[in-house]
Amino acid sequence: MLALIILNLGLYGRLSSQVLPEPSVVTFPYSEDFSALSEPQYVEFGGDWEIRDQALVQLDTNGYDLSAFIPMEIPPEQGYQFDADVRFIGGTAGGGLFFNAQQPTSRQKSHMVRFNVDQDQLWLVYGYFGDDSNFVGQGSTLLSIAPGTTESQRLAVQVTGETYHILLNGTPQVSDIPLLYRGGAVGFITAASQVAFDNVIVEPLTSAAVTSSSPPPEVAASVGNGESALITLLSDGFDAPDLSETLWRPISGQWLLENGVFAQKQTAGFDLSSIFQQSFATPYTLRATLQHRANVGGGVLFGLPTLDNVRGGHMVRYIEDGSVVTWGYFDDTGAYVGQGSAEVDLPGTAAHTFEVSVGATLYSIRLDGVELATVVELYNPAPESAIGLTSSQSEVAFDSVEIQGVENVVNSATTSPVSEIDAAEATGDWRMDGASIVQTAAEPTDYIAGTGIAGEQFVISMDVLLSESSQDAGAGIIFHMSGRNQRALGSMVRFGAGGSQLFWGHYDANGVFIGEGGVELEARPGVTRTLRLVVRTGTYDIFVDEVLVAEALALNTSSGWIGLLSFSGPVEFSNIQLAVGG
Amino acid sequence: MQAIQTRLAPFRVGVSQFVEHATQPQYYWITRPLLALVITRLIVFFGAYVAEIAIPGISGDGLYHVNPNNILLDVWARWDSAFYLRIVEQGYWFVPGQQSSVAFFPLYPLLMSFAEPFVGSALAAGVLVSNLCLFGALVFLYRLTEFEFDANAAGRTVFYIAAFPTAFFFSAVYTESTFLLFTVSTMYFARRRMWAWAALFGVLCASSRIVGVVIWGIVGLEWLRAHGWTLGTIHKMQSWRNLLKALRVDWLNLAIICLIPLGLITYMVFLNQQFGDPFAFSTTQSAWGRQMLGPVAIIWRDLTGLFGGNFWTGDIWYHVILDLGAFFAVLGLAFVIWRRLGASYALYCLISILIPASSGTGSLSRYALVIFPVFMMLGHWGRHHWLDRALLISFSVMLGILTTVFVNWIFVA
Repeated sequence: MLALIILNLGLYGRLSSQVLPEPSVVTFPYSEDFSALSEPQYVEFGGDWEIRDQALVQLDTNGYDLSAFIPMEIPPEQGYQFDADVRFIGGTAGGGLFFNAQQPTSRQKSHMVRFNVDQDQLWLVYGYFGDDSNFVGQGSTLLSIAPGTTESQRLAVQVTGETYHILLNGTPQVSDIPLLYRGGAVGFITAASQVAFDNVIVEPLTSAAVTSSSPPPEVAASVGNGESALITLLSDGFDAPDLSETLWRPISGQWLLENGVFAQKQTAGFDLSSIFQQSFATPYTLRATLQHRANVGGGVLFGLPTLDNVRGGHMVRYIEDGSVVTWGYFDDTGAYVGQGSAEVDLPGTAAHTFEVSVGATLYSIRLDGVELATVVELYNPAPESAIGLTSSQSEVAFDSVEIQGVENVVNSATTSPVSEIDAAEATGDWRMDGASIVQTAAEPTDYIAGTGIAGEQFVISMDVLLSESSQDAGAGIIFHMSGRNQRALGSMVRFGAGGSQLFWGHYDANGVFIGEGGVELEARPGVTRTLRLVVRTGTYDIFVDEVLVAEALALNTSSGWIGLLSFSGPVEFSNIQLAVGG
Repeated sequence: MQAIQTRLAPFRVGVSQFVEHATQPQYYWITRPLLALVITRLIVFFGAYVAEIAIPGISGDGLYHVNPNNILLDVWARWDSAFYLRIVEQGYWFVPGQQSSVAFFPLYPLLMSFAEPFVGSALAAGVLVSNLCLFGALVFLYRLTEFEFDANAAGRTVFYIAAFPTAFFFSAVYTESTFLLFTVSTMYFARRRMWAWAALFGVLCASSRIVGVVIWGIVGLEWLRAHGWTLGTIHKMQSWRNLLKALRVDWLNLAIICLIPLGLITYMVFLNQQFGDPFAFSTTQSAWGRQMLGPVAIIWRDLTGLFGGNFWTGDIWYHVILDLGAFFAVLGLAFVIWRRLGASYALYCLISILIPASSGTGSLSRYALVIFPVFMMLGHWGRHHWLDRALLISFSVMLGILTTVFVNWIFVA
């Protein structure tokens, strides 16, 4: 009898059909400031949600992915923006926004962006909950907000047809993140934190409001500028027979050139790097193809301020088991500071290509053509920076490295680069005199003034007037330099011995000149002579007073900076004409 | 160091005394079921956990994860578990033509709802109730087998049933362990002629699964056997005299036994009151695509399908092998059980396998799990060392495999 009583009480008291309070379905568009509500009107999925101080608050600090859905059904084709003030109250992680939830009772098949604290830094993490309800990260971005700040942050997602964008306090953080699920409900989520949400707005997205997407504005504007031409500044297939004949300088690890690859063989240690001994003017795009031979940890360096260490420079590389790529920078002490990460497919032993577009202040990253990060701030914005290769705890073979950048003149148009010369940065004593430039320092050494122009194929000509007072005076042209004013690897052609000679050669990686040839000229003291170079891919020709002096001289470099060179002085350059292009 | 040893000495002595007591034969009824529970649950819990994290399970619509933040719990909610969880959280529902929760009898979700406030979630409550009921069932099964055979057979029986290939259902949010507890306990009290207790547990049994009401007939048969009337002596006049005498002197116990169907009736009244259909639990079966074709037609259909496939390429339904194997094993053993344990046990076996087999073989290996007389018989035969080893090894291996399959959302039973 007792069993029957309990059975009946249980059936009617606990298991009887419940008419669940239907959530008041709201319509799109929607806004709520919680000023007139005393109870949450949303579908809760875990957590302790209340209305407090005219805000929606989740109070449970123990659970992850505690959520509340706004009961609305946004059509899949509807572009919309979902904004809310998110205020961290306490806990260990943070809160954020749910969107495109395919069912308002479960996080299965939904997208999410929320704040997260990791390594004492505040991040925005974003991704989706898949078919199995497990979170799959699509990336994260480091914020310059202190973890634990209790000020409201205006978090927004803009959902378009195939992608979504994340904004924080009106500033785009990440753009063009692929959508896996379209349409559905939106809501709020917290992770081990008390979080308040307020001033919720879900509204249609107008085309004017859509966050500009990839490539990132700054990078795109600079790399894709119509007044600049994209050229290959470096293309290295690692075919050189010996490392000493390249500009790659290992700074740590065990780097070897072998069978057309540049391999780092040491599997113990982190950030084992090799830096290319040439700086590249921003914007530029670095592409490096690598294969992992043992373990995982390969990547590239960029934005390096110096050529002998990684401090102040950026890095992107595989970490952990290869399922994650991280990016960030080395601070001034050399400590690595992460700026973001993304989950990727395991690299295995297949070839993968990192592509980093470095702008004046921002950079973006692609892996095998897939965008990993955009609009990431450069730690050390600079007009030019160096690049490198790196690996950590892994043996990595780099197949090729390519740098594409811009030349600062209009294709094939002839221009005078005199105005581009930065006398303060040049060695020697250079002075502008109208269309002419004079170097007056008389020491018997090479003085170089970079034109600020880089090129692979070009024609340059100039009139040179050597000093009659110095028998050793010389002047000429240096090109394919590693830096704007850095002669390393540059090829040089100049008059010498007061104009009675013309010789040519190149500087090695250490800046030591190696002569390759020369001719005797008729000495003409006090007479202006014309020197003209026609530089092509792999070879160049020399003309003096429009007479061909040397033809099809071999080049060891493919491109680089162009400058004027003076040996002793005074020397006057005039009528400088430069035509870049094939 | 010596100080630590001195401090630990009382503890060590206490443990030794406990072990000494626990290993004494008079405690076998609790220690052996407990050992069977612990060992087999370690297999299924560890196996389920590893299987869930190591194998990328299939995903898709309806393949839910109730609590991804706790894999040890989440793995026990698969397939029909959702019905029980939703009953606890939202009550029963019935939509004619749709798979509705009224198909699932109320005792197990009711126990879950009682436990939920203490453990915080319906899922945790379900797992807790399932495992507690399993332990209770093993204790009663041990007692029953010891009553019918001996303590050694009882010890083997509880291991066999707890390690049966589909025994992971005993820990899942399924009704198997609850149903086993109340059928075995009902039978135990019936065999001990404790009719009021048998009726009490019989009522609970009848409210835990649709075939639970069968226990009414089984207890009735035991009452008849207790009074000298058996199916084997039906032709003898003395049997009928015994029956008449029993009706005169022991009618009260018979009346108490007749309360057992109240478990089912209570549920039917509830269904009628809630949904206007006292047979809603049966009405909704069509939504699962089940038709009462009878066991012969069903088994023939599945056998034809099985042998129409290609064993070598794997182009067969693997669980049909398990289901048909379970069906024929129970069918064959039922006749042996009839001879050794009596008609009540054998009829329970036959009815428990033939009723579900009348509409499909889809879950027979799970239904066979609670046909405890089979395991009692195996426990008896397990005195042969080779059979004991063979059963334990094959059962344990298959238990690990099927647990892995189950938690990864591949249908087992």
